[in-house]
Amino acid sequence: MTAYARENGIEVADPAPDTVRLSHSLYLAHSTASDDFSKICAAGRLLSATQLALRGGKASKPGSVKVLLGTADSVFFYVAPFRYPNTGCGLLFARSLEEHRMDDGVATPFDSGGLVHVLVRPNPAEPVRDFLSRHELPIPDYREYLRISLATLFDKPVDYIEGSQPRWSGPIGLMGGDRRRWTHEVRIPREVWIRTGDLQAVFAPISRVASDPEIGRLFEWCKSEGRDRISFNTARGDDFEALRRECVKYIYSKLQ
Amino acid sequence: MGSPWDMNDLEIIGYAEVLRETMLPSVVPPVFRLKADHQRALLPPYSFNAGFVCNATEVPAQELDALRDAHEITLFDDALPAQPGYELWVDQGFAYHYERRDQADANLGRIAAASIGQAEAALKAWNLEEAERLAGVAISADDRRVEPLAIKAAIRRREGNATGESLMADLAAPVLAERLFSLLVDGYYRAVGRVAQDVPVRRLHSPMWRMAEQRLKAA
Repeated sequence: MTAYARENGIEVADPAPDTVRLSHSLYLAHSTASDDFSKICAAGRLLSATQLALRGGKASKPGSVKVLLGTADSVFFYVAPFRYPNTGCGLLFARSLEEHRMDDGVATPFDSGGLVHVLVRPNPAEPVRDFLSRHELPIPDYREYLRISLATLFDKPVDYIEGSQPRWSGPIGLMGGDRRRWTHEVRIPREVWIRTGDLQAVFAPISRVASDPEIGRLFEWCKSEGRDRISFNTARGDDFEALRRECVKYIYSKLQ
Repeated sequence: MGSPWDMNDLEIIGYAEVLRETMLPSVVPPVFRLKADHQRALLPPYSFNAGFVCNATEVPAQELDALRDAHEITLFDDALPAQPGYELWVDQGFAYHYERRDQADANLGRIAAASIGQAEAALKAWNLEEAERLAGVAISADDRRVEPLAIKAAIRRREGNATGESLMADLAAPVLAERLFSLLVDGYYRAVGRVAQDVPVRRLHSPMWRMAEQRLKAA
């Protein structure tokens, strides 16, 4: 990043305390469609595609993105507000989750899922798995790179939360896709239990909390354990936009 | 993200949601494809502006099957033409409707009102399971109504689930103050046939209770 900044004449100032705090405390976000979320609540844990298949779920197809990248046995998180479209419910985990899984978790400064079909790599001849492993960072150390990215590439560090494009594309050289191209991802192998001290907040539409017993029970658990619960109306059926908006609002409220 | 798409150039081939019975009825975001090129599909998130679909994610048609297999979208057998100002929603029998937004709102409002009435009747008949189900239909049809939440809260109280009852009050909080909601729950709990010892019957006829009723009627 330092070389990139020098080459592009970007002034790298000492990051403001807010930037340090933001990069240090950003939550790990995992969102799913309501149907899957109900199953996750019932199981009490997030399972990788491989673990789901081992428990009788559908096996990943040989040509699927996760199989091609070798990430099928991972649980995925964005280090950002919820960014996966077509989802309406979500979980935010505190940074403490990374500290508990620093031996086997890994991060990348982009959404790995976009590498196969969406994002354009600087050298398309390089095998995609090689590109991925070349950019993997240990957790939670990757937050130092995140801090420098927020301070260097964006007009304002909060642009990262809002999903506004960075002014500078950065040294990785990926092109195409959407905001997930520069959203940091954390992958944790196999499974992540939900009802633990690492759970920061749960998000779901009011109708789902009221009508789905499993989602309702997770909200009840959060209430009794003092975890944050965010329920919201979903006018016009646009669950994802409502979920994203509520998450951004929540993150801002915690940054105050 | 691409440039805006004229709705008149699009057709609807499904919706970006996989619904289960407890989620119905539900307004759903359409999955579009270009009328002129069936290999190009558009997915949410997007916004509508003056008859255009803006900021949609374009995907090749062959990806749609993978998304369906991943339980992210539902695809129709046949396509229907997209129209500005229309809403796609799925009824309790999993049949989809595509109609003017005001018409869709009215139909969903009618389903919510009818389901609340049926849920109240089921409560009085001590059919709590059916009351719970119908309250779920009502809240799915219109998530701004608080009566279904109050019915569910009364059932939770009947079950001795104080956290569950309190959770329903949390869900209703943006619309109705906790105290008024509590009065509403008291009324439904009374219908279940077992008024709690600490809730005098006269409280149900208090000015506060009447105020709660009036606010609900006005909502």
